[in-house]
Amino acid sequence: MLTIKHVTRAFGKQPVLRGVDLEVGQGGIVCLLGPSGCGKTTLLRIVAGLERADSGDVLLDGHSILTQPVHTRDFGLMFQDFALFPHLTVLQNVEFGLRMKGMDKAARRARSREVLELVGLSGFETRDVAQLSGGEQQRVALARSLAPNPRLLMLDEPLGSLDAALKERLVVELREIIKRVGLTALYVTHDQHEAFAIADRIALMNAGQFEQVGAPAEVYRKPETVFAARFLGLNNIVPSGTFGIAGEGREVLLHPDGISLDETGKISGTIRESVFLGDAFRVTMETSAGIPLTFKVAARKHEEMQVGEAVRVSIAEEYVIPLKATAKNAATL
Amino acid sequence: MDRDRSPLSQHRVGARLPLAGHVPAPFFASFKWLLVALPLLFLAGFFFYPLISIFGVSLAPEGQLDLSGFAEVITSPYYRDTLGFTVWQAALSTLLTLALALPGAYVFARFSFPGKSLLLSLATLPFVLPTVVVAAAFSALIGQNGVLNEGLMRLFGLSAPPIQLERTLTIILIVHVFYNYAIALRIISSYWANQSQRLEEVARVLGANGWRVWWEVRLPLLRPALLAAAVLVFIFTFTSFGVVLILGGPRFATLEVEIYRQATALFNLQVAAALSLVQVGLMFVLMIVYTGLQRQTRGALQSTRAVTRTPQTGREHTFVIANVGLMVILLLTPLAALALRSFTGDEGLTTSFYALLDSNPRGSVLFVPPIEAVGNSLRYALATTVLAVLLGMASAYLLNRRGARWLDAIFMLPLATSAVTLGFGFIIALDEPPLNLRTSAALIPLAHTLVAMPFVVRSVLPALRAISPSTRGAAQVLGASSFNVWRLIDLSLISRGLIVGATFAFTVSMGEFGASVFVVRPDAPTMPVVIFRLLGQPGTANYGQALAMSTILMAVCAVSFLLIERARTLGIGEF
Repeated sequence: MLTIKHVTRAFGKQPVLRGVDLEVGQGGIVCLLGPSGCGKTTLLRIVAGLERADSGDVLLDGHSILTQPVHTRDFGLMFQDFALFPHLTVLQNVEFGLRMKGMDKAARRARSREVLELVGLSGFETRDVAQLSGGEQQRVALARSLAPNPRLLMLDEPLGSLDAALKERLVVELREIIKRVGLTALYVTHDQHEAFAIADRIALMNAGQFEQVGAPAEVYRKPETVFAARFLGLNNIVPSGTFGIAGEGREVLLHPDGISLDETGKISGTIRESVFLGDAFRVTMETSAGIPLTFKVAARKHEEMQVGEAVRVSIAEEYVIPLKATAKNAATL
Repeated sequence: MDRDRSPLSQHRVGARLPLAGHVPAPFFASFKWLLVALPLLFLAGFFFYPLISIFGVSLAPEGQLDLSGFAEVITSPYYRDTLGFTVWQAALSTLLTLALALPGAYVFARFSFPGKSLLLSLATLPFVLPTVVVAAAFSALIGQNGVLNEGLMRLFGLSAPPIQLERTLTIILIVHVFYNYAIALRIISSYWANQSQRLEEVARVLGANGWRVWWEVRLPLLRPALLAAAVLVFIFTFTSFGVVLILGGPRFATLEVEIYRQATALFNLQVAAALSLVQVGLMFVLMIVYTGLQRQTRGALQSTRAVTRTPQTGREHTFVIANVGLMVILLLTPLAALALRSFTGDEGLTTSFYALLDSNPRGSVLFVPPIEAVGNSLRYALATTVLAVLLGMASAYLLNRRGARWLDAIFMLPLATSAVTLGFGFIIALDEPPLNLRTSAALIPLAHTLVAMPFVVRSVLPALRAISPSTRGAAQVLGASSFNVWRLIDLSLISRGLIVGATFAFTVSMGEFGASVFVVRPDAPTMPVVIFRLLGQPGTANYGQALAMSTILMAVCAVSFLLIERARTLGIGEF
């Protein structure tokens, strides 16, 4: 439905987008994931029309919308700071887009009530937005963007200003609502947990380029580049051939999910650090080759490991992931 | 070591270490009564006493309650018309100023371009220029013999000057816009700049086109700032004196001008006092409205600093250039015309008008060469600066104590009272013992100090408030006596505020007109008064001298102003 074709953008001399391509299918939720400054928000704003592109194209159902004015695109947009109109009530906020479309009062009221119910805020119509909690404001912002039935919903770090527990709950609800309505959505975040929870596909961005695009499980399980692995917190990156483990390419990732304690394992070393995580220990060992490896050990299966303890581990072959060098011009983490 | 005689014994560390909340006695503690008394005594003697005298003259001139003067003022159609005109011209001026300043405010809030901060500083210059200078500048620009008329006549071969704006309402309005444009622009644009751009972006995504964004989002959210700017400009134009007096001519009179005429030309003191009462009452109401609005604009929105950007599209470029052009034309050409005309004689460029300032053409014994007014102004300004700084500093210390909000309002009152009222109050109150100062030259610096003191307070108080008691405590523990604590800590931390306040006081005194016309001694006039007189006399020599002196005064004010602005951008003071 949405096609982004080789979009570039620079602010002055600083390139922000170096030519990105992306397809978003009808009803799919695509997440742009990356560190600050990678260009994800700029790309979102170009799609919305709030920013112009230096070159490239944005197509909706095959037609270019690059020069189409913002207010005619029929998209929805949610910001991190909610951006609710402070001088309007909840109801007036929600029906704003409907008013712009010229809907009559009765139809507006009905639709607004419907959407407020969808987000779980029935009865909040006459409230003053300044008196709402963070989570409630976020729901109003969502209702407001859903009310006019947009063709595409864009979300720019919508959960960024909420606390962790609320975030976890809301991200699941968000996905549920989006799927229920059948919307196509483009979601921007730097938080991988949010990304995993919400996305059908993740587009991992770095310094203005896509490093990897794929389903969350795929991206997590098989990162393709050094940047991708490091961004996801998978740091067991070793030169190919270490520990006698052959791999294609120059570097490989020894995926922590595949490392387990093994008396007969090929990799030996001593425990350098052991952090209690509640349900597991995150253990870092210094291998005999001098390279640190990090992996998790289920708490209910093992006693706490002592620093300095000698240990052996092994890794299943399918968890040895070959990595490409990070894309040219990209920043290192 | 004998514990009682060691240098540290007076600061027995264990007993008097500054704890959180414990304020070591500052230097002025021993002079506490003096601290409180001086500024309050000053205000009581030179502000409240004259003000009460005005009440007295209007309501009980012969000692008994006699409301006839008051009644005459309220019922007479002539005075009602005067009040009506005052309100009418103020309302028109306000509307015009806001209409022009609003797009300018948008430019400053959203865009960045080269020379932006310089332009903003220059645009605020008119506000500190004396009214006589501005009157002279506009007459030099669009008067009968002004630059524009001369240029147009030459260009099109006309025999009569095409622009006839002298003594019309139009010129009064134009000058009011000149004065207040920058104030309105600053209030609106700083409020605007703190508004999140996201709101506009959301509105656009939701389907609002250009003008709907204005109507639905921008303007409603700007309302507090628009109202605050409107009320402030209304207050300033309502109390407009010099502009209406000089440029409006005999046909136009606002309340202030009427007070002046009744008191000095017609000697109708009771009526003048009654008019003053009405003026003070209305001003009081307006100030309350304004401070109420100001409170609203402070905390209204989440202050996300909007990012300014350079104009991108052709439309944006045109918009920015048009507004910058308007500012330059409106605000800078009159000043340029003034300077130019002061050097232009019948045969081209000349400095003869400046030379004339020092001369006594008719050799009259009683005549005072205008150049002496420069010396007078400087002397008065210096006296004012010293007085204002001392009293202002004492007041700031007084106000720095907790629970002094009502005191704060009292100290700001002179700022809210018009200069004409102050001057008028002086001449009717201070002509009898115990304060018989009517012929004293001291009246001028006293009047100027009343006007200048609030500026000093407003510049010093924030710096004072920022000094944490533990800084003083630390100095004390290290062995500094009270005086040294004050000298090394307080003084150095408030020194910038003092300098800004002093510069304000100096500039205010140099340009003060409204009170000065009442209390100045004929043989020792100030520059504004001399300019006023010269403008009122016929002949090119007198006119040229008025322009020359105005240019000098303008230069002095401009330099002081730029100094203040530089200090302000370093974050000093509350304005």
